Amino acid sequence: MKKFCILFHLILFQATLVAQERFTLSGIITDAASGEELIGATVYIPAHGTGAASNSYGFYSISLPQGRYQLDFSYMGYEVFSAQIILNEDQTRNIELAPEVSLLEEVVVHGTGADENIRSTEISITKLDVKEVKSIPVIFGEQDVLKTIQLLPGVSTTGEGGSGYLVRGGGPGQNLILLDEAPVYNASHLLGFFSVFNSDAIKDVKLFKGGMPPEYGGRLSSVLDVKMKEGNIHKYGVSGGLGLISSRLTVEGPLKKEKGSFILSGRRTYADLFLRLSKDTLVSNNILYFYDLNIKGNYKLGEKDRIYLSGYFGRDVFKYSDVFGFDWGNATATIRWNHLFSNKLFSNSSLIFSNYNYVFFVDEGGMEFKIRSAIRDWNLKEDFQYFLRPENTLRFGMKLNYHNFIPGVVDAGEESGVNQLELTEKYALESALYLSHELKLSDWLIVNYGIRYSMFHVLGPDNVYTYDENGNVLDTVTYTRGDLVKDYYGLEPRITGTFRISTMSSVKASYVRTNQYVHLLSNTTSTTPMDAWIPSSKIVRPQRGDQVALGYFRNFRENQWEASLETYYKWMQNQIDYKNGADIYLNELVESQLVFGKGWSYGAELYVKKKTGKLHGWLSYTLSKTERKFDAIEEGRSFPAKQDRRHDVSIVTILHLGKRWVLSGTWVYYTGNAVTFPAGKYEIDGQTVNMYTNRNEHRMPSYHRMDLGVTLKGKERKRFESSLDLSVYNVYSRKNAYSIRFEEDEDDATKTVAKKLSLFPIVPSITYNFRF
Amino acid sequence: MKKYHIVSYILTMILFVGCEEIIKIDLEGTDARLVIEGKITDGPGPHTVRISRSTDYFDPEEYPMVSGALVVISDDTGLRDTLQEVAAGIYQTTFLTGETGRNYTLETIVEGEQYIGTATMQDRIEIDSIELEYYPATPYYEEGYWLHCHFTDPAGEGNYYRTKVFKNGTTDKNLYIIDDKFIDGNPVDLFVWGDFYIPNDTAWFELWTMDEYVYDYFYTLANLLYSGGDGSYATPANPNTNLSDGALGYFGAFTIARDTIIVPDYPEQSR
Repeated sequence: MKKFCILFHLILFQATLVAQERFTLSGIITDAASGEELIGATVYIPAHGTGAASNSYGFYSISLPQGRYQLDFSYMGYEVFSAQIILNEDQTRNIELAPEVSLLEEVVVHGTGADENIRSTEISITKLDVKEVKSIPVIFGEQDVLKTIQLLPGVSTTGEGGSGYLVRGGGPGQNLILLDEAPVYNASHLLGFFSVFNSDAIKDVKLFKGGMPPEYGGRLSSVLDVKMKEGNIHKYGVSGGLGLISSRLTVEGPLKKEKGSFILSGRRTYADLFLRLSKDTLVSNNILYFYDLNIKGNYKLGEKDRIYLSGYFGRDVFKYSDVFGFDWGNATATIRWNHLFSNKLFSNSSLIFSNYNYVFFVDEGGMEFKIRSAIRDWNLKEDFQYFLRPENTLRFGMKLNYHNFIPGVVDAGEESGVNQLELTEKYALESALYLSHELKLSDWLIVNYGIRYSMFHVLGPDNVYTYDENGNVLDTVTYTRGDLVKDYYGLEPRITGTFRISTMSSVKASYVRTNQYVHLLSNTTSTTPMDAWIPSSKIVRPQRGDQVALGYFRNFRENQWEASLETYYKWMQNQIDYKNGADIYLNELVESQLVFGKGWSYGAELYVKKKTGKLHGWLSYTLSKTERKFDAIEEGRSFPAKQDRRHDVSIVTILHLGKRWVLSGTWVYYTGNAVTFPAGKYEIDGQTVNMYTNRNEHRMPSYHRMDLGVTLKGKERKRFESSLDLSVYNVYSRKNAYSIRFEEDEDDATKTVAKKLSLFPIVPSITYNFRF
Repeated sequence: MKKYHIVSYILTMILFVGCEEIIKIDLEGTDARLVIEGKITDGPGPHTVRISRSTDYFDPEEYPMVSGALVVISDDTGLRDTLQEVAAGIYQTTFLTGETGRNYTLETIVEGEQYIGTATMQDRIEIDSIELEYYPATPYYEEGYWLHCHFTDPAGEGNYYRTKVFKNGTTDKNLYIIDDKFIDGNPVDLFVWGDFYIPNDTAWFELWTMDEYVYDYFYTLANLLYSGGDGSYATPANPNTNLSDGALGYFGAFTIARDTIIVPDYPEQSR
């Protein structure tokens, strides 16, 4: 740590030396119409070729020598705002940018911001435009950010129509999903067909496939940083939509004019309301729905302080008559306080709570019991950003995350025949310190280097078991409250660099190390509501990932087109798999069921995007390979991971026709994932049993699908907007294989057959949206 | 209690549009492997060991039986019974009977290769009663009875069961197994999966016990048979066998308790 302290002093010293002759311009950049803060908006000084970008709260700060400047403030999809400023003292300028009306014209995007992808040190990072998400056709017309990120290079879907995603050969439990900084442990509804993110309440989505800055940590593969809207600070508004599957309603407005605002957004599915119409009581007594509620409010306490409160609550409920039921969901709450220590030093303090739980009950024929499980996090975060000079920013902070895992409790009735069972609760403190420095070394070289020091303390009370080779308990040690059971520490260096070749192209490189201390137990590629998370322990060691990436970035035609080619190689240590026939559900001795090994993934990703114009969209192509190696599996030979997929292509196009029509289309193609098919068969107990040889040596068939969408905007009226969305999923109704089963022929038991299950044929859907 | 049962149930609810069809897939062949299925029970003998080989997956031929093997079952008192081949690949004991608490070893020599498996015969668990539960008719189902079995699980985890039910002398092929992880030491009211019963049917119910390793074989076998082996759940693999040297199959020692009931007329109030 000593080295970093010295470095820190050097930077500060340098800053004070030059402070006499420099003044700072700072402020908040917002959307003129709604007052929403704009994240990543740019300030650019053409004469100096230098600039800055706004942070997650819209705050920017730029320190310049005394003088007269022309500054361009810009943000994708907004009019550029140019200001003449005489800087002879520190100034605060809050900037409002107007949404571009002539978005559809083939205009040359001047100013800057447009070449941000070339200049910034961001590699393997994609920002989603939420407006664009709304134009992309999806199944059942439920717009979904998680389905849109699957169309990006390096990101693959976990299954047909699902919202689960895998990044660069990583597993489903290696993606960190943050909603207003709160970790979301299970981001899907209805077994993965819908995500928990109601796109009406979402402002900004950023995906880190690699090159994560040190302020993020805790998962191996990726970070998805989702920010909720703040609500319109100028006026009240209501918007919503009626769809086939669900309806949505959002209310927003000022809490006190120009001081604070709120947003309240809800969504609920209503398939079960139709079930209730059924005359058959077996059907009408079934319940199947989910809902989401997003609430957020913010208030300015003064020029230097602002507080935010945000919450999410979502739940899936399934009930089969009164015989059995199952409900699960997330709840998160975040309190944040932005404070400006000076016009150069921005801080954010957050208190975060996150809870995921499920309850499962059975009440039938003498069996009466309830199973519940939960994972809870309490977070305290402190983040500082110190804007030393243009393109010279220091970020540092700390995070404390207290985890409580409730792996499972069985509550049984007196007469139920099922025993009361309570698995040992787990407690752990995950914490981190980080420091990073973004520095422009010359006009052609910018680096962002830093370090994250992560720590994990498993705390008592706990029962710790040691096992023999066969998984039998040798010894049990009981810890009480206050005991330290086990600790782990990790240094995670992170560095990215941008070498600018010309005004239109650059080469970027990055290295990141990530540690993951909590683990998802899932040997499938997708997640289910009953998946268990376990903390690191004496037996389960932290997962460690190292990733290098190298990319070439090139823009064309005045930044209207952007393209990138990235390659990566990723090493993953202490990966988890199951023993054959592992019993991981409600098992106190679950750690005896696991085996450990390593994995690696490498690939190349091409991304070409047309950003503006009547016709825009992107193409992405991924070539990759992912393998794993476990001493206890396949006699230690390496084998393809389940998520190993060689080719993956997505094409997204959006076409604006006149002022009222928007047409959109997507096409996806990918070669099949690795899978294990039988090599032979034999007979046991009068039944045909499949015989297996090598793991994952076969491939699923290739998949392709086209979706189309049409949006018709209602006639323009003064205080009312509406649109009708029609989307068609799987336009040419291809029967893509969801799974292939090998079993006895139903008609002829002497024969065995392969059966392909395909899920969705052509699925049209319609949604009506309104806003007033 | 396996999670995918519930999950697949909900999936079925949602995937009302799912479609299944038979497709042609090329699978490379592989070397045939030896399959041994050996059983000894506490019932009257003879007890049978069946030896066969695997075939390629889409091979329409019957499974080849293995003749001329040397098959011996011995117990921990030193008794050794060399089995007689009564039909191709079917070997039977000549005198040995199963007793609870005994440890049994199966030795098989096929073409000079030896395969060994051991199993322990557990305590027999008696059936307290079997019972019929009447279900009235609905617009979708005719009236009928479901079968329940009552027995008492001994205290202490580590009891493993297989159930078999015969309706009018025929049984279905499905494998029904349970362990006492959640029901340890309790009186158990077991709902018997399978067909429903109408008056004058005969229900014949069997409760088998086995040791941990044989249960592990059946458990991993059931996982393979019922999770479809379709790759959307766990990676399919051969069941965990208690046989040595790469043989497929198992050698099990079982106790079997039986009870039977003749289904009465429907209750009066149903008329």
